[in-house]
Amino acid sequence: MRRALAATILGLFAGELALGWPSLTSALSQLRAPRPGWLLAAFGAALAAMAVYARMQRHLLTSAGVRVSLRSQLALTYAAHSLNETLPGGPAFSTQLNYQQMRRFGATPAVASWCIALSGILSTAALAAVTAVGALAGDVLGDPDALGLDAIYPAFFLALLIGEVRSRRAALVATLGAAIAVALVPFTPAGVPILAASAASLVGLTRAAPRAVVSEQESEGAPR
Amino acid sequence: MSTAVVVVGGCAVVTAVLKAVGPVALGGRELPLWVTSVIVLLAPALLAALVFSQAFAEGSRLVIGAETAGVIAGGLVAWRTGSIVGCVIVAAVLTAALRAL
Repeated sequence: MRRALAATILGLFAGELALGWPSLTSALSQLRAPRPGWLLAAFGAALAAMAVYARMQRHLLTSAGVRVSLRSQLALTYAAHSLNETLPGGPAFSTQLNYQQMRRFGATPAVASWCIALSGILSTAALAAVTAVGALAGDVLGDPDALGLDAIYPAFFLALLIGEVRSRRAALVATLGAAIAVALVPFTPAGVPILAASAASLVGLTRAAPRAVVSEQESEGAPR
Repeated sequence: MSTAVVVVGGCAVVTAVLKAVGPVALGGRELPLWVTSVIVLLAPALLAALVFSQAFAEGSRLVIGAETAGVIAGGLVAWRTGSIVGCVIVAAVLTAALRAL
């Protein structure tokens, strides 16, 4: 029985590898010359998509009467997705983790299964809809710049930044980071200014900073 | 072995090691306060750098263009209303409108 199971799983992996080989090799040729700007944009888009996914799952849980803090739902979503993407057979592991944690949040087995199944259906349907719209609209739209689509990323990050700047210290760090990035843009390859701007966070090493962080965390953890 | 096999194997090993390092090295321990206070401030620094390097530059030239105005308007919307969707829509629409002039 156990051998048969192991053989089935091995066969599954082999099949997956054989089917995915052409796309894997073409992805590798892209990896040789990554474009940092697009890489960062993809990273941001992935983070944002999962944050929205977490909100959707939290809505589903709430609709079934299970209350979860956004923070623990976000943590679960990121953890489950990283299992899903990196391990072979990842979807099985991530579903298992989702189920376990939702049970821990206080969901009954029926509610947990319902939430997992429904969030899968909703996200798949959304992906299909977006793909269909993209395929149909791509030819019609023409130049994305004319529609101002390139303003979307910086605007999105700016909205996140505004939510993040809650103290004078954070505002100072943001200003410093922006100044470093803008100063370096003309002289360095793309991506370097952003990496260098992270040095602005060293403001956290000043003597008054750690105490401020603690009081901030405590106020975040306090019940509202 | 082809390069592809080596790269795939390497990626797998690096991923596993990266994931293991955190729990093995820091599992159960609290981060020192000064590390936390730097990490907390990484988000505003990186986000500000991303915003400014995209809104005020095109490639390696500093440019103030239609998208600069769009992003500033979007920022005002996000600041006054707290709506991310509204911010993005206003930024895109204003940028498109300025370019269409």
